[in-house]
Amino acid sequence: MKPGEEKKIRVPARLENLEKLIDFTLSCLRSAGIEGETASDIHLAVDEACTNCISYTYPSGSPGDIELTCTLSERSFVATVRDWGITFNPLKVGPPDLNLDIDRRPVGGLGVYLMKKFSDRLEYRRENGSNLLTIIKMLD
Amino acid sequence: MVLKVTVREKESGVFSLMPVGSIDTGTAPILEKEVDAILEKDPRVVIFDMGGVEYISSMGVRVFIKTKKDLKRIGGRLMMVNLPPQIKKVFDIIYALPKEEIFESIEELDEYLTAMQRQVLEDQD
Repeated sequence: MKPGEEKKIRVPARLENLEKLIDFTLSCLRSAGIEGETASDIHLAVDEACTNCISYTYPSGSPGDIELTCTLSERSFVATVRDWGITFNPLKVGPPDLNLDIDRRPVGGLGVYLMKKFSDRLEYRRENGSNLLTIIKMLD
Repeated sequence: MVLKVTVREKESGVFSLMPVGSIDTGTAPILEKEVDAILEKDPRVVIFDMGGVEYISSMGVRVFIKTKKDLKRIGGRLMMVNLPPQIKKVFDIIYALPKEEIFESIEELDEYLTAMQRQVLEDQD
């Protein structure tokens, strides 16, 4: 990928398609020459965003698509996850209680937290009946 | 993504698992299945040698949290060794493991286990 370039993939929002979305992201990162910790961070943030989207946005019986767009600029890598499901703003999900002993913590709720921690900025907006979650990672 | 898990019983009741590859939504059940098989054997210690783990997501972390909960119930302990920096970063961020359960190397862990064993024997005397 060159700065200014954008790549897109759209698949049915099902868990068996998660690997396709991750492979797409990894191939974008490779072709953009992004590696090491920055690449791992983006990998994790996109994985958590897509997993959340696939798990929660479409109530059972009404399947829909998930679209992932990767954009490279001079200073950042931007991944945008879009779906056409129920309104779900992950930025409104509160942090898990990290002070609780691990044995007493609920098992869920970690994905959104990791996504926030591993990206530099997250933006959410509802647009024309779709959820748009933008993950921004600055490049050094 | 691919995950291979090697399981070994180091000594009676002390099991080590060596996952190699990626622990994510698709592969977490593979690790969970191996852990469940160990839990049926009433382990005292379950060691995860993480040296071959390239990636972990929240779905992977859940397996460790669940294992720790299950072990606590039966009086067993979870330990981790050889955490690559990017994997350690994930566990650090969610404070999933106390320091006394993470070891830099197999040697350090073995020393600890030997000391633990000695303590058990002394307590029995």
